Formats: sequence, C-alpha cells, structure tokens
Amino acid sequence: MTLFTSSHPANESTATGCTCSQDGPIKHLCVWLLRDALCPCCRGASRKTAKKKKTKTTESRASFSVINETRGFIYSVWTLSTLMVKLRARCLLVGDAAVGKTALSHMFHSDGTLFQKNYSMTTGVELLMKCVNIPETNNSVELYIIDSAGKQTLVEACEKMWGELSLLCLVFDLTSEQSFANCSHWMERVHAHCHGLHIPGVLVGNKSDLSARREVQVSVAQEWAQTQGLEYYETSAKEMENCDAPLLGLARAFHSLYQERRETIQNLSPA
Amino acid sequence: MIGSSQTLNSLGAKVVVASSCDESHPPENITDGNPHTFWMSTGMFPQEFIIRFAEPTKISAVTVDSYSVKHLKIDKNTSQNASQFESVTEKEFEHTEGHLQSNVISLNGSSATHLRFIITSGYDHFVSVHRVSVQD
Ligand SMILES: Nc1nc2c(ncn2[C@@H]2O[C@H](COP(=O)(O)OP(=O)(O)O)[C@@H](O)[C@H]2O)c(=O)[nH]1
Ligand SMILES: [Mg+2]
Repeated sequence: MTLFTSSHPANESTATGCTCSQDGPIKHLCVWLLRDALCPCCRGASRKTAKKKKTKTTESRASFSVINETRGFIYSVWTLSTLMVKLRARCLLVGDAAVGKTALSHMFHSDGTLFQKNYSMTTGVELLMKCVNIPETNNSVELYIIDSAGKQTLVEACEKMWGELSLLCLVFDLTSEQSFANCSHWMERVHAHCHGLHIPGVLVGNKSDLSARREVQVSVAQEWAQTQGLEYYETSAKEMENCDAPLLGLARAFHSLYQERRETIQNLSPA
Repeated sequence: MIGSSQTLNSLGAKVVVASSCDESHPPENITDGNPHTFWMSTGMFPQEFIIRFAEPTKISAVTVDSYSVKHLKIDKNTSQNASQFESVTEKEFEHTEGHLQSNVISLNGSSATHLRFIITSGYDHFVSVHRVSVQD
C-alpha cells in the first residue's frame, strides 16, 4: 500500500478510476496513482465522481480492486518510463572474411554518436563503442562492438579477445551462398565460447545493393535465423541502407532481457 | 557463533562506488539490511562496488545475499580514500534457481575502512546483490 498516500483520491474506499482518459488509461493512472497528485486532466474531478457514486457500492468496489490489481503493472510502466538505466553490452560482430563487417561497423557510427574507436592491427580485433537509445524510454544501451577478423587462420587468436559476450551480430554476404552456409559454423563457435549462456543476437545479410548477384533469398535467411533465435536484417553498408536497424534490434533485445531478469529477481524468495 | 551480525547502515557504512546504476535499484539497497531490495548490474563483467565504514572496523566475516553471482573477490584498505586496495579473499558461489544465494565469507578479523567487492563473473548477463552484512 505504500504507493497510496492518505491525500490521494484513490485512497478513499469509494474511489473509482478517473473516468476521463485523455492520454490513454495507462498513462493516466500512472500519473494519478503514483505521484500523489491530482488527476492531470480532470484536476481532481474524479474525487467528486467517486463521492457521487457512493450509493453504487458494488460498482465502486469493483473498480477499486481493478486499480489495486493493476498497480503492480502500472508501477513497472512508471519506473521504466521515468527512471534511467544505462545498460552495457559486449557485442561480437562476426562472419566470414569480406562479408562487410568492418564496412558495417564504420556505418554504425556515421551518425556521429560514436564516442571511441580503437584500432588494433596485431590482434585482428577492432573495438567500437556505440550508444543506442531505446525509443519511448529514458534508457540506453552502450554497445561495445568487437569486430573480429573472419579469416580462418586468425579466428583462434581472435577468439581470445571476445571475452564474455552479451550480444551477437552475425553477418553474411547476400551474394555469397557460402558465407551464409558458414553462419552455422559461426553459431557453433559462439555457443561453445559462451558455455551455454543464452546470447541474444541478429543475423545480417549485407550487400543488399548487389541485387543482381543475390544468392541467398530473404525467406531462406529469415527461416534459418528463426531456428537460431536471431532477428533477421538486410543491409547495404555501401548505400548506407538500413545499417542502424540491426543495432537497434540488438539494443532492444538486451533491454528486454534486462527487464525480464529484473522481474525474475524481484520475485525471488530469500535464501 | 562468531560475534553478532549487523546491517551495514547501523554501522554507518555506505556504498561509495558502484559500477552499475539502475535508478530504481540503487547501490544503497545493498546496505539497507533488507533482502527484498537490491542493486542490479546492468551488463558486462567485472562489476564492483565499494563500501566505506565510518571508522576502521574489525570484520571476522561478511555475508553476501545475491543472485547469479559466480565469482567474487574482496579487497580492503585502511585508508581514508577508496584506493590502494589489497586483496583479502575470493570465492566461487554456487548457482541457485528461484531463491537468493547466501554466502558467508571469512575475512579473518582484519580491520578495514573500505571493502571492495569485485564480481568477476556471473551465471547470467545480470547479477544482483541484495544485502551485505558483517560479523565482528
Ligand atoms: N557492394 C557492396 N560492397 C560492400 C558492402 N559492404 C562491404 N562491401 C565491400 O566488401 C569488401 C569487404 O568488406 P569488409 O568490411 O572489409 O569485410 P570484412 O572482412 O567482413 O570486415 C570491401 O571491398 C567492401 O567495400 C555493401 O554493402 N555493398
Ligand atoms: Mg574486417
């Protein structure tokens, strides 16, 4: 009951949900129930409504319990929309050599929101940091993107640099059937590296500008992605087509995972 | 029984550094003595937090209530600043499902003004710490 305070209209036993719903009932209830303020659109008129309804006890009780039941949900909507969280994720960018990983990663920061870029020739791993805002929230995800060389001879050395991964961005070349077929090998490698920890990820078919040379059909790639639990995107690093979409997909996936885990933790019992 | 267990707030101890911050699950939740409130990491490892005591305090053991923590290292110092730590101990936690982990970690009665907790790995992407209490 901590969310209700004595001065709150909803605290009265006869209170009903406010009947106006200008901004949609959820947003309305968020403000009204949790802020200990007058209803923002009817300016407290709901209190009068409640008193008027005093005679219809059954109806008002019913509405009150609805408010009670939805409170938990409303509270989580409220915290998510107002309190800020910055998540951090280590994202592996991987796939065969020459599919366009490096070109893509350079597109990722073409909008000027890249804060840091280090290049390391010796290890064959490039690290980029990109901050992605989650739409309609105050939350953001800092993606630490590891562009790992795809050349067979370098893979072993590079894997040592992967570290503990949070996200996967698996890239193939839409004009190379072979690069698509090899995606399953990359998946195996990543799975083995992560020791059973589930890693949300995306599959990216790059070079969509070369439509005449396409060897992998959308439906085929889409279907395989689904079996792997990956979201599928097509991009052209050359034409700067759709390059931000996979990043937003990754950030959203990590954000939902965070929310899920937070929910789980909230419901844990003591040791 | 070794000494008595005290919540950190009652000792005037507080978290002065934390590597993650979700404003709805702030690091103060570690020291409030309540296992229902928690601090949550927001991604990647290692994660750490530093607890400062009001004065040098003799500690025989700490109890950590947490979730999904795999490996924890504890450092300490006796300085006024949160720097120049020496390592005290480390422990591998067992995985739990559906309920909190609770681990007692012996610190051998060493005196400290700061304790640094470094979570080097987890059983999941995110870990939580619900309560740290000390035995004197
Ligand atoms: N036509 C076209 N070429 C691309 C595209 N992306 C990358 N390339 C070219 O493919 C080659 C390999 O790209 P690179 O980014 O080095 O691949 P990586 O080995 O996966 O990092 C280069 O010649 C790029 O110019 C694309 O979207 N369209
Ligand atoms: Mg490259």
